[in-house]
Amino acid sequence: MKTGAKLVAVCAGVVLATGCGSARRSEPLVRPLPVHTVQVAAGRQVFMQYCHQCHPLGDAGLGPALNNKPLPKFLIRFQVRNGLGAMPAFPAQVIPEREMRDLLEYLRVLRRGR
Amino acid sequence: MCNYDETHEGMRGGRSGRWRAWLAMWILSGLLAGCYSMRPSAGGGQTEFKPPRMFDPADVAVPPGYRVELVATGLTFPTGIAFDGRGRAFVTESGYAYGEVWTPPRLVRVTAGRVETVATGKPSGGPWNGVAFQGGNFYVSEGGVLEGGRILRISPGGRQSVLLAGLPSMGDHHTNGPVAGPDGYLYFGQGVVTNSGVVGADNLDYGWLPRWPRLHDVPGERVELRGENFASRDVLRGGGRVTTGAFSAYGTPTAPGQPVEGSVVASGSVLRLRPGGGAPQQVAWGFRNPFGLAFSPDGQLYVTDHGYDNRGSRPVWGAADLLWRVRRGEWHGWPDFSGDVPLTSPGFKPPGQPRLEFLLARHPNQPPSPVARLEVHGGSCGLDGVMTVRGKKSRPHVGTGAVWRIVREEVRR
Repeated sequence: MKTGAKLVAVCAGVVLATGCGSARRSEPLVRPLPVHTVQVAAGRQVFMQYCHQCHPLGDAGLGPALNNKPLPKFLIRFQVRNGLGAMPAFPAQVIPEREMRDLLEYLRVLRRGR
Repeated sequence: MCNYDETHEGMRGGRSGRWRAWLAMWILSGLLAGCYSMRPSAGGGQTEFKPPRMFDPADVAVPPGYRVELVATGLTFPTGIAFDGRGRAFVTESGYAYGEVWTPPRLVRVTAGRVETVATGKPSGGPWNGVAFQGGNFYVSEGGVLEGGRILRISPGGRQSVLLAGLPSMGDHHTNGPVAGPDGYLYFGQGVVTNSGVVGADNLDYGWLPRWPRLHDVPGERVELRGENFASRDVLRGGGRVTTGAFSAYGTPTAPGQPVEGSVVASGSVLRLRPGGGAPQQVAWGFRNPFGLAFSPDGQLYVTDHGYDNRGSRPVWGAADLLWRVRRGEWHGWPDFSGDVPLTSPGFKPPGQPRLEFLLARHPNQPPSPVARLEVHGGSCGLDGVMTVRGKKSRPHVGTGAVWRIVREEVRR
């Protein structure tokens, strides 16, 4: 099988895996998300202020679900800072870097659901 | 005789064909699985409904420590619930749904699964958006989309009297609540006429524009406009274009610096009224559709407020529903803010459209920060778990409404 076709197959497999993962892993379907650190608690505040209305508790709403997307932190940061399509950008004047780190950590915990 | 090159060429051709088939299947599966969230949405969750409606408490998710019990069924578009002095449940049936369907609004008593009519409103009176019990009587917010909103008193025996009439409820949003305040007053919400301050073609879809072609929003105090005007097709005459400004009738442009007088009974206000009747008092304004009202034990009023929609002459993208701690005497941001965030922010610009501009030349005050930003188009209604169908294309499904009870198990133990 040619390399290009293999690559397409791998990408398709990732897309399939992503689509099959349920985004519905927030309250009340599951137990409350444990918030064990100050950073995660702070990140949740940032999420509730800027993200929750379109991505309610990481589930799909006006925007797509977040908590079933296997994106690394640097890609999430890029999208938050630059926007994507209908999603607006949140520059450092809106979400300072410290709050961004808190948000990324919260999203990591949210995705894991524990 | 076996020709090695021709044989292997055929074998390679066969393997290549299988791989193409597998690849096509993977791509198709991925698209089917991953694209479900990419379909356009008019906002909020949407699904099809085919009767009969099935009721199963297991379908309702609640946090640990709570359970759901089905109390009654057979209701038609229930909107509010209150308990009398004996702890019996009384429910309002709206009598109206977006898409413009009218049924007689009702106040019913729900007892041991039975539904008994206490009072029936006139068929044109809906929606009945909520009920409160105070001093031995029930008080209902009659949304009055056809004839204007009213506050009704209904005795336990079903006798109705009108405490207040003529509320500007003939537009997109109506008279909501009420709730009994700790000061003895009745508090209720008055929704705005339009989406974001400008009458447009979308108001034809809501049904009221041909009925009330001169209807428009009214601010809670005297304001000065920036003179922003919006062009739209003339849906009343069926052709041509019109230009409409803020707080103005359809087809009426405005000029920079133009003043607009305010009113106590403003669009997007919270008002209060003595149970004995009299003139209403403005508590605060600048809301959009203050639907759910509740007092905290310390006497603070909270309100759920429906956020802007992405429609009409001034569409707004991604605006949250809001939970407010009401600041008496203050303006809460409509039509230029969503919570404490100005609509000029890039996040509110609908895809492919220009950024929004303010409608007001000066703002009465910096809007307070909301307590919470809820889901966009979430339809956040009651603060006590009243369920309702949201969206302008809803239909009242006769007899398919229900009352649920959410029991907190720790308390019961």
